[in-house]
Amino acid sequence: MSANDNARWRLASVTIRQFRGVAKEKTYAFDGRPAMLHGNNGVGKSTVAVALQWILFGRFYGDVLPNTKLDSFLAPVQGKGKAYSGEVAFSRGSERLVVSRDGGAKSFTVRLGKDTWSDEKAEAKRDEILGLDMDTFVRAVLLQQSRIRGLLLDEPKERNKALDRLLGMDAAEHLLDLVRPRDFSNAAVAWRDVIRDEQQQLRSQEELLGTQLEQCQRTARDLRFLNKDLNAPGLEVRYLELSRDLVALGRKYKVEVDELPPVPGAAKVAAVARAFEQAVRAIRLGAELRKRLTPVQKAIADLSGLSERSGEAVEARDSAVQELEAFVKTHGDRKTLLGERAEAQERLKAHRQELKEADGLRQLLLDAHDFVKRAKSRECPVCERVLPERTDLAARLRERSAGSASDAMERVRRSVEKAEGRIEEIGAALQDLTVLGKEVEVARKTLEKVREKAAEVLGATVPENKLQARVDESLGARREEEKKLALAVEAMEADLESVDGRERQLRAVLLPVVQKRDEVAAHEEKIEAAKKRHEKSEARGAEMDRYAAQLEVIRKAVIGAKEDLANELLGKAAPRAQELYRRLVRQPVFDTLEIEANAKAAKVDYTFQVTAGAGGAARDARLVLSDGQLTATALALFFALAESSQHALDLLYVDDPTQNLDLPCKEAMAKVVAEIARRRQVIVSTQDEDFVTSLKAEGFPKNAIIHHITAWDGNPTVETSAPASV
Amino acid sequence: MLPSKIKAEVKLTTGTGVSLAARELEALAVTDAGAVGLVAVLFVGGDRERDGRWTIVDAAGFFGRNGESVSSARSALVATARTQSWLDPLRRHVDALWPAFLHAFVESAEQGHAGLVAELETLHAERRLRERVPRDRVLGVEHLANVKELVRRHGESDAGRLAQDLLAYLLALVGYSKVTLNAVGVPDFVLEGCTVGDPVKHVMISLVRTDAERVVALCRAAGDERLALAVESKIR
Amino acid sequence: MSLEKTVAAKLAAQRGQEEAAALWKKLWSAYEKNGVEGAHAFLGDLLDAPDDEDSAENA
Repeated sequence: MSANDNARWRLASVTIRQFRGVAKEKTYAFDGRPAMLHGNNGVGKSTVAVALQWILFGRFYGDVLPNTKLDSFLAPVQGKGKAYSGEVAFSRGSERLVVSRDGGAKSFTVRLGKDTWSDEKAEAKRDEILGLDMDTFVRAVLLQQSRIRGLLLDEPKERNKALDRLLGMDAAEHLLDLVRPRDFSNAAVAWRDVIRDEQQQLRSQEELLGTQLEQCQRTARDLRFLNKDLNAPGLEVRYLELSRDLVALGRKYKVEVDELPPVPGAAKVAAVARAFEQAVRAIRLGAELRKRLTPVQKAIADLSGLSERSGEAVEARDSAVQELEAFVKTHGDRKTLLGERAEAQERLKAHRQELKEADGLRQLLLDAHDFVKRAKSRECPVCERVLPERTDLAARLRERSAGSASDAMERVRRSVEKAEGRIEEIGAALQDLTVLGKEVEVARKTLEKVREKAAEVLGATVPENKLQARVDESLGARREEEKKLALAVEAMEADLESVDGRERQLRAVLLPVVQKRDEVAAHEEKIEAAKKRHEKSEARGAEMDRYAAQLEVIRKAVIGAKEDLANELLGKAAPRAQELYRRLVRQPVFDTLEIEANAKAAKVDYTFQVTAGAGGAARDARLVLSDGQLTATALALFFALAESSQHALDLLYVDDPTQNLDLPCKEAMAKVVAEIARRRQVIVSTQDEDFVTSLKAEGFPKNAIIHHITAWDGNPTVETSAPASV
Repeated sequence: MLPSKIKAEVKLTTGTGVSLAARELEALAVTDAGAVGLVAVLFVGGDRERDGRWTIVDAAGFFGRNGESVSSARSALVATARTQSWLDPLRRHVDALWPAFLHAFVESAEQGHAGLVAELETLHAERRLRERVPRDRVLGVEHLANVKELVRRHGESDAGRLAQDLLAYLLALVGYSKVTLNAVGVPDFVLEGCTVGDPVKHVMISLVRTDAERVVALCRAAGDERLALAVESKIR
Repeated sequence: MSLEKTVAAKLAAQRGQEEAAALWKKLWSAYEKNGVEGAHAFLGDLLDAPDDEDSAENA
């Protein structure tokens, strides 16, 4: 080893625990020598490369396995647990550098000799000691196939991405993706929009309120309110005046009313209006006028009734008396009638006696007739005298009974009838007399009552003959009185209406002005508050604009820097890349490789071209080269970059370099790798046994360590051959 | 602290800028350290934000320019004002009272310059100026209407003179006993005899900042702008 | 030279971009610490747009 090699670190070993293809633990020894890891697919070769990167840097670029969480990615394929950990040891002469990372404990340490650093300090130390960061590591130490896959794609975007990866420009690309000045200028616009929208709203509301206020004020002025009235103090003064006038009215109508409560603002008006209403009602109902009016009206009602009734009553009584007198005149009074009836009864009694007698006589005659007829006697049955011979007694008796006796009887019967009739007449007349008498009584009583009432109302007893006149006179006087009082009440109502009207006007016309002023004042305060808020929003918007501007500048700087860095790297690597390109690709016509970074407005893209001889027409490499040739070109570039970079790690780890390469190319590749391996620590990981053979054929360093992974069952089975070091 | 003396040039404009003639500017020069030369502009041009409000700048900002006159757009004046914080107490006083002051005297202004000045003079001499200023808030719309009406009624030129008179006495309310108006000469007015900060009969009071601010607010609410300013000037 | 230093140099070479340079430093630091997520979070914290509350409050 040359003195130069002594100045650089080489990989001594990699220890992997519970990590991807290693379920338990496995240490791969490299001893600072070139090495080969080979075995079939799926035996865990790539685990070593991944482990190397993870242990050293703890992360990958975003697209390693884009949809898998890091934990799942790193956890052992077989078995569980998140206690993956590992160690990478480097040696430089007699020095030993150990880098350890523990995924479970989340710790990272760097040990150099006796010194140990942890976490952030360890990260810094690692970078310092090895002289590289992850970008450089990926570009110049560890080449994985995934890095160059993109070069084979049709999309220019994908090819640029692949070149970014190859050149380790991922950081720049990520940052360009993230740095979006537009987001910030949009935010600034949004802040301004908020302000503008709100300002517009407030302005239109202000205009509307202003117009409404003007209208209210105009209405008020039309109704003779003055400017000094059109505010809260004005309203208060007006209500004060009203209160004063109300109290004065109360005094005038002898009702005590309290002063109205003060009106310091629109909010108090409702309550004061209620108090006002109550005061007005109190005056209206309690006024002395009303107190006087009520009895007068009652008296008038009474007197009117009396006036009607007294006339009627007298008339009724007079009429009844008249009827009675007429009756008495016609029929006589009770005494006379009673006397007449007694007489008639006497007569009747006599007539009845007569009748009885007449009837007796007749009966006697009839009996005598019957006797005579029966007895054929000649004697008078009555006086028993002998009657003259030729006397037909029976016939004479019969004659007499039917004749004079019957006449007499008839006569007496008629008298009886007459007497009976007369008695009946008299009875009826007596009844009539009673009725008439009662009617007179009733009429008199009625009249009496009327007179009593009149006495009550007039306050003095009035002779009957003067009753109607006095009642009517009094009624007239009261009506006069009522008229006067009514006029006075009307005047009072007018006063109350006037004051009520004033209050209504205050409420209907002045109050709205004050309320609208309050609204406008509140709105003006809202505008002031909004201004303050807007200042804040304005400031935030301005800040967003500033950030947008700064980020724009940063973007441009990053683009410029990326271009510069990329071209710097490409420039340094160009000669070697060109040489390796020719050796590996062997393109007969397009034998010159030209790779250049170009800054555009929003990104950096690459021209990846080949030309026929220097100065020839340039063609896009993708169009000219096959997949295999592109792969070889990428590898050429990779090796060139690795060799041109300056850092303290003398290691090239090439993971599966022969994908897509044809056999001649593989052989050329093997030659190149073997050459480099003579100068540097090259570790090749491959499943390609042809390549392994070629490498060996090209003399891949005899002191190289070969790890042959033969099987895998969660853990790799490795056959290691490590010839004694030279 | 208030200036011991104020010289002012007053402009009213319906436009968007003002011009100051050289002689007007010269008249604002002050030698005394405590004095100040002001330019006060009342814009009535249609900008909701600034219309009706006084923009007050220290004339010292204009000195050093050569030429006959100086022109300044509204935005420049406003920007200049922002850099002159020593005038903030005066500005606050004016902003707080101007709407009410104008409202109180807009009718008196009907009498024209002579009548208005006579009334203001009398009230100021009798220390009754403050009473005339209504306590009730003058709405922004009402104030704008007053200002516009002033211009409409009297024309820009006469309205400017009336505004000048009013501003002079408004500022005098802060605590200047002597008011000199120049209707035609320069400067437009001079205020002297500052009664605020009289060293005689001083009392030292120590207050917590928040209490001092409360005192200022209470004085202002009670209408005592002079005392409010006197305390406020000590807080900064 | 690293990306960080190259960008910093470019910014320093421009007049009046001190703030941008400081911002770049912070951004790079966030990226270094926590990669894309870190940088994204850093920029996200800077970004301040009005949300609905702001507009509603103002309405």
